[in-house]
Amino acid sequence: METTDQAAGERLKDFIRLEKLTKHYREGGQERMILQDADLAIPRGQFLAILGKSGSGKTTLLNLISGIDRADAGEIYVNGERLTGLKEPARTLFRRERIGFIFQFFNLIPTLTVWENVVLPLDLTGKLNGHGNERAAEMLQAVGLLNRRGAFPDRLSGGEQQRVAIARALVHDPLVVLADEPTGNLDEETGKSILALVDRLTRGAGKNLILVTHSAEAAGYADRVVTLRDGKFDEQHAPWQGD
Amino acid sequence: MNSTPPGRVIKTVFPRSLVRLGWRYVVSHAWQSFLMVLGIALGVAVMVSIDLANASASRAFSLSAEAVTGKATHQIVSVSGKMDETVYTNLRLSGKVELAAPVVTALVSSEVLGGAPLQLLGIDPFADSPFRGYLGSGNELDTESLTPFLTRTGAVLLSAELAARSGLVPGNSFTLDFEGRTREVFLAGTLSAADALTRRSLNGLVLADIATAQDLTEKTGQLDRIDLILPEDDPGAATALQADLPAGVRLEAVEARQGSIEQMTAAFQLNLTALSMLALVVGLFLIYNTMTFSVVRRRGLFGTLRSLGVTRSEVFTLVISEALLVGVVGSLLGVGLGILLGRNTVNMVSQTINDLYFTTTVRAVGLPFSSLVKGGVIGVLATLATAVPPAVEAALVEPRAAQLRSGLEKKTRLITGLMGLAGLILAGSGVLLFQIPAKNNIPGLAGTVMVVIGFAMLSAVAMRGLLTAVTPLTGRLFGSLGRMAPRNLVNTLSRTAVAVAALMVAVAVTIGVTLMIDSFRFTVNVWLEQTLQSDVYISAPSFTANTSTISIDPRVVDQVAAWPGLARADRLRSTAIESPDGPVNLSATTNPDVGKERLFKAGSRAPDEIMQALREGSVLLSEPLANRLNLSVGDSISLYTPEGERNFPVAAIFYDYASSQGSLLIWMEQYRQIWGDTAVTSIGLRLPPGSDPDQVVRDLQSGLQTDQQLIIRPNKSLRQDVMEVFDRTFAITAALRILATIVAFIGVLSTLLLLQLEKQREIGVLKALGLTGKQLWQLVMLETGLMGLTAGILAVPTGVALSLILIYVINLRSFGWTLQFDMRLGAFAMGLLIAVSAALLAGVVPAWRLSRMEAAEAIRYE
Repeated sequence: METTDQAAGERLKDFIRLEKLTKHYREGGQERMILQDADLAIPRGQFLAILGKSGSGKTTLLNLISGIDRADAGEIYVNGERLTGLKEPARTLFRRERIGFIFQFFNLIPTLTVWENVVLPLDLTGKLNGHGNERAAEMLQAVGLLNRRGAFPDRLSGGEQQRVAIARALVHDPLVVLADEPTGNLDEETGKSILALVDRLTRGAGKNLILVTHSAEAAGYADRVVTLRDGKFDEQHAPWQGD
Repeated sequence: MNSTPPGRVIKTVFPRSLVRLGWRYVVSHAWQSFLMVLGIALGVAVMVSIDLANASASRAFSLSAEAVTGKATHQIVSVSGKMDETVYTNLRLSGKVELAAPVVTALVSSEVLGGAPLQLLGIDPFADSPFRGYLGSGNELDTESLTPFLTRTGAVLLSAELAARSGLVPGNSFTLDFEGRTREVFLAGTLSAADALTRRSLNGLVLADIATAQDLTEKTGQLDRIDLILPEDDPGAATALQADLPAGVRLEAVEARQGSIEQMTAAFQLNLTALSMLALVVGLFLIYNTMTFSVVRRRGLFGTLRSLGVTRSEVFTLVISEALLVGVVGSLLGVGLGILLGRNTVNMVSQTINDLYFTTTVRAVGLPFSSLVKGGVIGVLATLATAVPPAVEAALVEPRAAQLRSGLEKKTRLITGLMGLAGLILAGSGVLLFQIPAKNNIPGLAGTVMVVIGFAMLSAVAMRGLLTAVTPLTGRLFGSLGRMAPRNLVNTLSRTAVAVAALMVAVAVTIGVTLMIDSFRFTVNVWLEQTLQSDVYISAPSFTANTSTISIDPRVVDQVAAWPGLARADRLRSTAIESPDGPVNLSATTNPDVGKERLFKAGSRAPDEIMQALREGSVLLSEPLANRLNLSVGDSISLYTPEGERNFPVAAIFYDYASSQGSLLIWMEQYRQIWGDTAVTSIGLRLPPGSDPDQVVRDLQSGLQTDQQLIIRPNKSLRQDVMEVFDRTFAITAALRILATIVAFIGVLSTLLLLQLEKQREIGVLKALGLTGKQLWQLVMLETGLMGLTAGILAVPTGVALSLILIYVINLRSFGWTLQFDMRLGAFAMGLLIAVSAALLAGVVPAWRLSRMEAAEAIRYE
């Protein structure tokens, strides 16, 4: 039997740890199971891809890890912090400090310029100072859009918008970057370049990246791939990793 | 064989699926539907309540008038107000008129009978039945009552209802107050009316034999008028009769006489109606806004429906049907609410009309059904008309590409400039309308509406400019949220501009009406200061707030003339004089300083010259009378005198705010010489310096020997009384502008709730990025606050323009008054405060709902 110290040690070793996580939704008067006693441990710095069919609960999983949504049962630990024990305001503060989000539909704020979108997470946390501005400029430089800093999102292509979203997700130096089908709304070539960019920037910074996708090709960038099926994680080796 | 040509579809029934679609949209957007219904309901309610009040007041006047005129077609009246009863006897003896009845009337009151004004009607029971029939068939009066009524002095008849309500039975004595004097009468019997209408008229009457009425009103040997029924098929009869009448007596048609009296309130009622329409107009902004919004949100759906073969007209019908549903429900509710509101407005309007125009003795006239139908129909039709543009927009959605909202916003950006230009043209056309001379003020009011809507159409372009300009400042103050808020509003101009325009109109009206009332108040104060120069005033109690026409006991006049410690006693006789243009209010004065103590219009002569001319037989006209009769200095006014029609030169025109009918001022000696009337209706006392007016009032109250109740008050108290009537007159205006603001508030609330619907995803993203609840509130409040601020800022120039129109066009045209424009910063501050507070308050519900929304749900939202 595990002692308390051992358990705590495990949690620290596993940067993100999901224990018996359960989540249901009510849809049309019927209960729909998304996660059922699902366990998952993710070490620090790992790029994890989560595969699954549409409606399998991949996005819900990201929402749970980021504290956007609440689990019905089970625990979530991120860097030793018990997320499931936090109330909504605390989860919001946790999220804006520790999580970076990349969405399928980019979700840039249409009324803010490229620059203003990127600095938004810093502004929300009151860290938009000289250093913050430098950091934002670095990120925009890294995604190759510093010269478009004054443009509004509707003037950018889909790929450019997603690059801005990547800069926004990383600008406040989060612990974890969550990417929800980031290439789902892009053409194949742009999708590849986006994945390469995310991979380069997150690995380079030693961040954890959790990528939700139904594309095996996109999952090919990951260190590890799990499939979400019937409410549980099905661990699998990436085909390119061999036995 | 029945065949349909290819490509031609015959449909007679609206598809059920579309009915379901429309119904479900209305139900699933219950909040929006509710607010639309509320907006229309309030608009209709205000309109109905004012219409009820106006209709009730007019009906009360008609019934009061009918109660005393009955079936009379003509009346013989004296130009001096007094007619010897021999005129009647001679008329009878001449045999030229078959149906004639002498009448003595007066307004009386009695504590026992409730204290309200009652019409004392003195009749000849033997000649009267063809006219009024109170004693004839249909109305029950037993012979036991008739005998004392005819034979005993002081006998009166009351309606059975009034007698029962006052606890009186035949034989009971009670007192009547007439012109400050108390008279004892007794109830000879009661009258039961055959129908409800007659009962209402009877409840405001005290019926007496003519001899008793003459005795009660001290008009022994005199009549107020002779009622006649002249044959309709002989128009020459009236002319022939007039020729035979003695000097100083005139024959008049009843209809014309009543019409000219009722005409007095026409402008007042028209202005009130116009103001009541305002709430409906603001409500229509709300409908337009919400319907446009619902169409914009469903562009994709309409595109899909069109792809599936739904015709343009079916899409149009779908949207119009939704509006019809809202319009019908809202209007029905509005009519119900209008009846409730009407209880107050009827009282307020009746009070003002009784204060300023004429005394009605009929109350509780019942709800005119026509007002309810009119309100309901206007509500539904206006809603449908407002829904046409969005319905057309929906019908024009192309099936292949359901245009996205961003496309519409781009279009909006393009048309805001054009819209602004159209607004300027509309406002300019409105100003042009003011130049059209008209009998009534409808072109003036239409012009005012055009100017206000023109300014409202400028809202979008002004809003874009203002918000763009303010963004750097809000960005500096509030960071990213400070940049997002104004830009969000600019990006959703197609919806936000209409809500801001509605709020702007409501606030502009508040500012405009407030400035007008303030200016009016200021002007009246200056006028009172200039005109009321005496230290103490004496008059007899009157039922109206206007200049009293009740005679003061001549003994009092004599006693005051000899009262010790007075510098001077100026006497005034106010009465109504017949003229070819109807009754004219006349005041005869002995005040030697009147040439200095009036504010004269430019173009009038010097004060000394005015006084000289006045003493020599010229008259001074008040501004409303000069405007009404279109007379200037140097012209003459024609009046009927006992010697016939006579022209009086106009020496000057003075500003006067006592009545909108206007009055003329004549030198007392001239008046007495011409009309032979020695009555005095008001005395102004000038005290030597250092005297205490309050002490003089007390001395007079205790020292004057008279049986007449008098109002003796110091200058200050009279001014206060005048200002009280002034404030009472404008109470309803104040209430109406508040109601318009409430409707505008609902408009902003509705817009914000709708904007919230489409912002859910964006808010979800912001929450995902770590936006806290406090920051969310900050964002929503910033947006709504900016909407309010924009509306408030735009409302200031609109409000000023409106007040200038109200003061220099509407008031001048409707009432003939020139007001001094008094611009106070308080009105602007109040306008801004109302706009921002209303908008912030409207933001509370959306902010609360958004803050409770789960981010996960918001991101999922499509």
